[in-house]
Amino acid sequence: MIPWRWSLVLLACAPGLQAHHEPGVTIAKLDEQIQRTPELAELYYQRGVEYQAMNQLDKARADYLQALKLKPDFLPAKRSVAAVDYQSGKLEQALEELRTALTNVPKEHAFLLPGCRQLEGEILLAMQQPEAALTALELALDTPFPELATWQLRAEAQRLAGKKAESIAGLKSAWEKSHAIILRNAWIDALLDADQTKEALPIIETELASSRFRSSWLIRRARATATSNPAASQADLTAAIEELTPRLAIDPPPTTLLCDRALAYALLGKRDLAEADYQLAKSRGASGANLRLLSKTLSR
Amino acid sequence: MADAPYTRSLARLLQFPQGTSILWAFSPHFMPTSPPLRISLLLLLTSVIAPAQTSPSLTRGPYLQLATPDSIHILWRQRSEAQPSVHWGTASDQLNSQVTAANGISLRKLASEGASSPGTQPLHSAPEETCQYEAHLTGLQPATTYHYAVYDGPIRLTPADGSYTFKTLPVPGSDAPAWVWVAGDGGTGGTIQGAVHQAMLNYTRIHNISLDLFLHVGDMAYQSGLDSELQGRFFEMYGPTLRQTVCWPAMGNHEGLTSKGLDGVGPYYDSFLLPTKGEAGGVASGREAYYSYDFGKIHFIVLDSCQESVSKNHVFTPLGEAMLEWLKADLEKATADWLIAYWHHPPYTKGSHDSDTPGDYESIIMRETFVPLLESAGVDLILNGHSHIYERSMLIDGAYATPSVAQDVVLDDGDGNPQGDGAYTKSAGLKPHEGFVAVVTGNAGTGLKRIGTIPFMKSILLEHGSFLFKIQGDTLQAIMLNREGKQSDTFTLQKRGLVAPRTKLAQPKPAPPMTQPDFVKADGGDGSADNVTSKDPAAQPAGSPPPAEFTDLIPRGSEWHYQINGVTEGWAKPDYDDATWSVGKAGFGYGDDDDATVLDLRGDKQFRIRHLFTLTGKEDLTKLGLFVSYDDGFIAYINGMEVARSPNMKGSGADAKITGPHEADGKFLYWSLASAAPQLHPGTHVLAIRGWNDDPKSSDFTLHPQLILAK
Repeated sequence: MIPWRWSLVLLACAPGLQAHHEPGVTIAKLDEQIQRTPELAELYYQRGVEYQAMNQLDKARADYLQALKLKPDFLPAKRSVAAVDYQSGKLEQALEELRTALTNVPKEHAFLLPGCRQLEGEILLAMQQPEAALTALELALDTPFPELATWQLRAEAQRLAGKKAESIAGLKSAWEKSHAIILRNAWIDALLDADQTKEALPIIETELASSRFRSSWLIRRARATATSNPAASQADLTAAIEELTPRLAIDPPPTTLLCDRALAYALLGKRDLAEADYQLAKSRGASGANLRLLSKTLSR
Repeated sequence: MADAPYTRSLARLLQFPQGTSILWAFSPHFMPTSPPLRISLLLLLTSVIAPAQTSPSLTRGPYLQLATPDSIHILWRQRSEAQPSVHWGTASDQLNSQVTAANGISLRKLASEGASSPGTQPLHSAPEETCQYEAHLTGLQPATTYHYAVYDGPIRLTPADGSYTFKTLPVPGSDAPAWVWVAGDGGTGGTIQGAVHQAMLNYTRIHNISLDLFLHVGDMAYQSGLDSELQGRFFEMYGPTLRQTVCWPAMGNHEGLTSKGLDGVGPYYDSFLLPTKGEAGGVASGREAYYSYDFGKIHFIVLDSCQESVSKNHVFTPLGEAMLEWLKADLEKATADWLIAYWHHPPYTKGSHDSDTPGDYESIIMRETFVPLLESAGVDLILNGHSHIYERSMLIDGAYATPSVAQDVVLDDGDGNPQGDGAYTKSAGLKPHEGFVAVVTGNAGTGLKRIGTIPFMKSILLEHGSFLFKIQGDTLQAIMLNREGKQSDTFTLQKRGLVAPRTKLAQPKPAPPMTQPDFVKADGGDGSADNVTSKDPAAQPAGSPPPAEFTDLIPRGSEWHYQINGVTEGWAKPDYDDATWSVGKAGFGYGDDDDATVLDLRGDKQFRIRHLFTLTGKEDLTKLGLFVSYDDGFIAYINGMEVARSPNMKGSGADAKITGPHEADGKFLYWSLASAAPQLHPGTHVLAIRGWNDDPKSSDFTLHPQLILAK
């Protein structure tokens, strides 16, 4: 017998609850189980997760709603309805659903709250309401072990809300708390974005001195010196491309390195080459901060 | 909420007393079956090996975690709060250094049972009143062997038998040789898992090898990675190794059902203490889900390939995105001579999983996203589990296509054996795209299966075993050690000088064809679902020609133990306690007036039977066979491994289901059980069978087996 809390954890682990099977196979199994025990809300929820994974959002939504009909306080299903609507671009509806779900959360579901608040923050960011997003993301961070992505989203919300200094300080503090190198690097990038090169450059130099592959740090140094020393900046970008190109000599190339080379090309003014790498990286599933920075650079 | 306290049947207690009696754990066939006799033998053996007993107040461990060149962690659990200390020194009689709760031992408890030490997470799940102690030993010398003992106040909890030792890591960059054991998908707690472990212990003892690292590639505790499952199927199973060697694990999808990489919460994260701050080398990941560490000139990278790290349609989850960025940063810094990466889902497999199907999307996304980045940094070896098979590739690079093809991805299609086609070669240091060897070693315990051929595999084996390798200087030598302790595969990788760029082969030598049966006996019948693979129904004859003459091992009409519903895992194994089951004469069922024990099995009921039988060692076991009269279907197990099934059965373990009806008509069909012979030794065994009704409203059901030896 799995204790109730585990059943929630199992549900929270989705997608991939039935990680051994294709969603289609899992759905067929769940169909059978639902036929036998149509009163179990969890089964509809699980089937909804599989439909959502297959991008069949209407079916997913219908299953989540059926789960809620059977179990009105089922927070994972409430959150999933909002997530599906968010995924479908129905931002306001998603937000309303999520906020309604969060009005009266039973104590035993409290551990699901940070994830719900993060979704709320994401929706609000998509609605271009950074201040409200910030409030939601602060709540999402009110847990002993926040997701790294929550820190990054909060920094983005702060930046969009015009609170650049808080955004930079928040990333530094997040890195110090979590020790995660990606937050340290996000902090360096935020410093460069804000032209605060004085604090960033010593770290960049240290990294350059101790790295086997230097391209990402050469690009950062090039960003830092673009105005003060354009020639050195261009030399760094060229060196970065020289290092990256043999590493990318494979089809398909690693997307994260492709984003780096695209950025180097973009900063060198080689727009066509940058655009080609950008499009390839995007088509290969690149996402995240790299792509956002690249997109921003290309749009200038 | 905690798991229920561990309840162990007497039989289980007899078979796996913690930290002792490995002989029993791996040779259950020699155990007497009568409980009084077992108890007598237990007392006798316990008295002989008493000095090796750990204290009964220790409920887990001690076991080693997170080592560095100058520190290590020792973890253990006790039933109640203690006055813990660890004493250590470089000789067993000179344990002069000490760490206590005051200066380096943390306590973790369930949140409901009081405060854990500052800076630690409370335990997510554990038996009630569990105290998990985590001792941090510092100020150690690199690459040095120490002895240690765990104390509660003045009472020494670990015996002074010389087996409680640890070795610190060598300084990064130093030329220390490394012996590394790799196991995957073993977590059944069954005899096969034990045999695989024992084979490694025997091999290392015979060859005087001191293991430096234990890498687990996931699925260490079926079915859901619960704390109780980790306890029996990992910590108790591997106890003798875990007390001497740090296990650096990658989480499997079964652990992932109850533990979440995103926030590092769950029984898996309770159990392991993994580097998040770059403590053991590499850059800080900030998450225990993925991390790296250095051993001399080797850089190890551990990734989380489970559901949270990837998503369908190439859309990353936050964890996947963060892990990819971390990997890029980590590879920028890696200056070791060797680069080895491991995670659970294999980029290339056609074992019990198929990396070419969308359903195994984790495999595809690891292949398309993480492998290219690793190759661009010069990875040498990639280790995985998940697929229940042993598959080892040629020297490859750039194999990202779906389906996997051999053309233009193979750099060396030889066997990598210096005594054969020659060792694989690469340049010294880490050079991008000079090739790597991919190894799937999901064969440490559960049933095995092969569904096809990845065309650039060099060795494909349906054998239970594990992977053992040594790196010394510029040479990596690896073997697959099967459960009998034999080397089933070997290859060598040498990294010297500068190797000239090679053209990828347009037509490499073919991979081993599928000539073997596509399954190997399962270790279960224990509900471990798709991890207990079974015979492909399509390959299974609907009964073989019956022998003309035979002797009965279990005659028709014998009394069997039977149970309707309510059966727990491991029901088909020898150590399962069926004392509470009912007893009745075969056949079983209802309708048709052909059943000696009439039972109402209508509806969706589960029906299981068990019967012990004894072998003297004089039998010709290739003539072992099973007659069954059945309506509508069945799967039969000997000692938990599947040996026969009706042809209308599909799937296995908890996923097994019947695909159509079959009328008994008073007939007994025959199955040869010759394939089970290698697993059977003199002693007592159990034949366990589950029967199925095709239609819950069916008018009849029959299950009537007869075990025989043909003449």
